[in-house]
Amino acid sequence: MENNNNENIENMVKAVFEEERNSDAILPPPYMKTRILARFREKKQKTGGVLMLWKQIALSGAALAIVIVFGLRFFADDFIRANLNTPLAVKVEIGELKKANVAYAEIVLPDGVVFYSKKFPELNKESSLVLDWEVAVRNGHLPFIIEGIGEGNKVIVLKFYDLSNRLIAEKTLKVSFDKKRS
Amino acid sequence: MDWKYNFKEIITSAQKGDEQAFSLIIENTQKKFFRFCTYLCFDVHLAQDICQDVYIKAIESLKEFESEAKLYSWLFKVAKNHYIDYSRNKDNQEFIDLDNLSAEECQQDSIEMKIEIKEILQKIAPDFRMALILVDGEGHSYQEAAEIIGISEDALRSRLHKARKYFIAKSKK
Repeated sequence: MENNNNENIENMVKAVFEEERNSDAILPPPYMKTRILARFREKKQKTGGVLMLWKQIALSGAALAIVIVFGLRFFADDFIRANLNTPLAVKVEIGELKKANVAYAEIVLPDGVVFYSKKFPELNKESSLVLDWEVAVRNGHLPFIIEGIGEGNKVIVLKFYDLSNRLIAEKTLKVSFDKKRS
Repeated sequence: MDWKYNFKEIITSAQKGDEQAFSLIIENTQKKFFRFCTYLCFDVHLAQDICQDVYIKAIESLKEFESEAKLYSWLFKVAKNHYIDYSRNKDNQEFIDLDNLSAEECQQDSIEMKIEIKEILQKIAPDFRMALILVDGEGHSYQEAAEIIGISEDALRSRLHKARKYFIAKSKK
C-alpha cells in the first residue's frame, strides 16, 4: 500500500515536470548562445588558440628521460643536463604563486626546443604556449613537456600574468641539451 | 554535422577549439541545461550567468564524453557547484524543513491556482531541489543523480521521497 502510494506520488511529480517541459515554458534567451560564443572568441584570442589542447597533453606514455620538479624560488642558475631528442617532463611547483591571482602562464621556448605531445604533435610548431592557470595547474604543479632538438644551452622562460594581463612573475629554466651518451 | 551521429567527433573538434563544433554543443544542449539551471536557481538571470560560465568552462574541460548523457551530467554537476559557490555568499535563505515536515505543510493548498514549479522549488533546500530536478525533471537514474549532487544513493532516495511529498502537495492546479 505504501509502495503504491509512493509510486503514485512519483508519477504525479514526473507528470508535473513533463507538462512544463512539453510546454516549453522555460527557454534560454535567444542571445545566450551569441554571448557565449563571443566570450569563446575573446578567450581564444587572448590565449592564442592552443589553450584547449593543453588538458589533453599526456605525461604518461612518452619516453621521458627526466622529470624535473622545480620550485619557483629555486630555479637553478646552473644548467641542468638533458638528452637531445628525448622528451623532458617539467613540473613547476607553484607554491608561492598560489595566492598571487595568476590568470594564465606563458611558456616561451628558445630556438632548438619544442613542446612535446604524443597526442598533438602539431604543438611542436609553437614557440610559446599560454595556459589558463585553473586548467593547467595540477596538484600544485604546472606540468609541461619539452624536447631539445638543437644542441647547447637553452633558456626557457615562464611568465605569469593576472587577469589584467599584468606580468606578476617571470622565471627561467636553463637546460643544456647534449647528444645521448652511449 | 549531425548531433546524434557525430557526437564524439563534435566533442573532439570542440576540444581542439573548433568554434562551429562548440556552437553545435550549445545549440543542442542549451534548452535542457538552461531549464535545469532555472529550476536550480529559480532566478532566470542567475541561471543565464551560470549557463554561460559553465559553457565557457566546458571549453577547457571537455573530456571525451561517451554520450550526450555523460555530457549533461558534467554540465549539471559544474552548474551545481557554481550555484553552491554563489549561494554561500548570499544571506542565509530559509527553506522548508523537509526532514521535519508537519502534516499541515503537506496538505494541499486550498487556493485554486496553478503554482509554478519554480515557486515550489525555491522553498526547498538545494539538495532536495536537485534530487527532484535531476530524477523527476530530467530523468536521471538515482545513481547518476546521487553522483551529480555528491551524496549517497540512499540519501538521494530519502530526500527525493520527502521532496516529492511536499512538491505534489503544493503543485495543485
